[in-house]
Amino acid sequence: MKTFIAFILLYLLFLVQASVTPWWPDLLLLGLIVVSLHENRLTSTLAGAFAGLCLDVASPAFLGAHTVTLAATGYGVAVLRTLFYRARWATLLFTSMALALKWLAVALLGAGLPGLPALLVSSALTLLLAPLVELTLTRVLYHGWQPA
Amino acid sequence: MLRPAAATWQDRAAWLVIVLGLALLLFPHRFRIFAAQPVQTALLAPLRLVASTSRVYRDLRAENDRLSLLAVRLAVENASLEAATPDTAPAPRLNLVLTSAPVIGRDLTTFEHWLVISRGSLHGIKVGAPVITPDGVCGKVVACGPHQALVQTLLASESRISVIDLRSRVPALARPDRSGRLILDYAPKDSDFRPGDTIVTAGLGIVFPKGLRVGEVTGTPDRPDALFKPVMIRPFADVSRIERVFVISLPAQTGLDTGTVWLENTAPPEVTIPDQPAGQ
Repeated sequence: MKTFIAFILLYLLFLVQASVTPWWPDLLLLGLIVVSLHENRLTSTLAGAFAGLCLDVASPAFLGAHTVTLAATGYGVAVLRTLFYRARWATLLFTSMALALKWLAVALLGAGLPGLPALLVSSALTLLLAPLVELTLTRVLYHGWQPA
Repeated sequence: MLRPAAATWQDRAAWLVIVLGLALLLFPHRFRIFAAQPVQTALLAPLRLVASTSRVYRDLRAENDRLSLLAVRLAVENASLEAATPDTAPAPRLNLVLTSAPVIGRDLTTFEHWLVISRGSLHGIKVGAPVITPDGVCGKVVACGPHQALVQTLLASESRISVIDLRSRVPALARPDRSGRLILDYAPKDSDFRPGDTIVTAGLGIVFPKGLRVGEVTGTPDRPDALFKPVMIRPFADVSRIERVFVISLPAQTGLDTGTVWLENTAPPEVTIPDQPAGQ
């Protein structure tokens, strides 16, 4: 049931993400990281693929780019959380890695994706919001688990 | 530091998902667009619904405002036409300014006696300006600030309006009773008021122009001992539910006082008073 709710949450975050400008923080990415911190590897990867597919169909010129990026993010976070289990800075680290992956995708695919200034601002806001979103979503979805 | 666990079936399935994602990138551009379109329609349906509902709501609000303004313009035009009876010259066109004003405050004890509107002297509103709705007369402005004005409604206990029966042309003075209706004062006992008659402003005061709809006669109770005929009136404007009103004012360039112009509309064209001999 929690997994189902997590997918619904990702869909809602996608709707938010699709209705705002590229300057906004990447809430979908943050939601995916929080889900991946608590679900198993396959579920995290599927959640990432689902979130990425949602973004891809919204801009189908690069169908698959977001799917791969976010699926890899979900899988990576689910694997790496065993290394940094309950570390306070884990969320920031995972967010940074996910943003790096996103930047890499932007660099590889080029045109059609948000411009550099918007990406910079969005990434900074995403990093700033990461601890708060992690804490909030964890409390809402996973019954108050908090980083040690 | 812990080492990651060895690859399990979950890892392999996850890799498969990632590889499938990569495979999507290899599809031809035309196929991607073709395949994504129906999914996009389904996924973005809630956003489209919200946007569509918001647009419809905005359009309805705009249409409602437009129709309200039109209704009030017609009410004022109708009033001026009714004022121009066949035996008098037609009233001059005043090019009245109708200022739409949302109601932002109410008399908290009754919700009916006083309204606060969010337009004031900076919007051309003056004390004494008549306030109407598409349904009929609402009241008058009794105090005015730069951005807000206080409206005394028909149902305030101090309110008095000179009215006339549209059918029988019998004039009278309307005042509120305590049941949210109006009652006519000084209507002669043999005057012709019937239930269903429309009551309009008489234009005898300095506030309201002639012919604005006020209410409908609901009854004329028989009171043999009364000096005047009691006439009960239901106001057309439901003051307790009004959300937006229109304030009637003259264009700024005329330089005329509203009350003077109303009186000029109803008074005889010329009144001459002979000079009194000195010493008398």
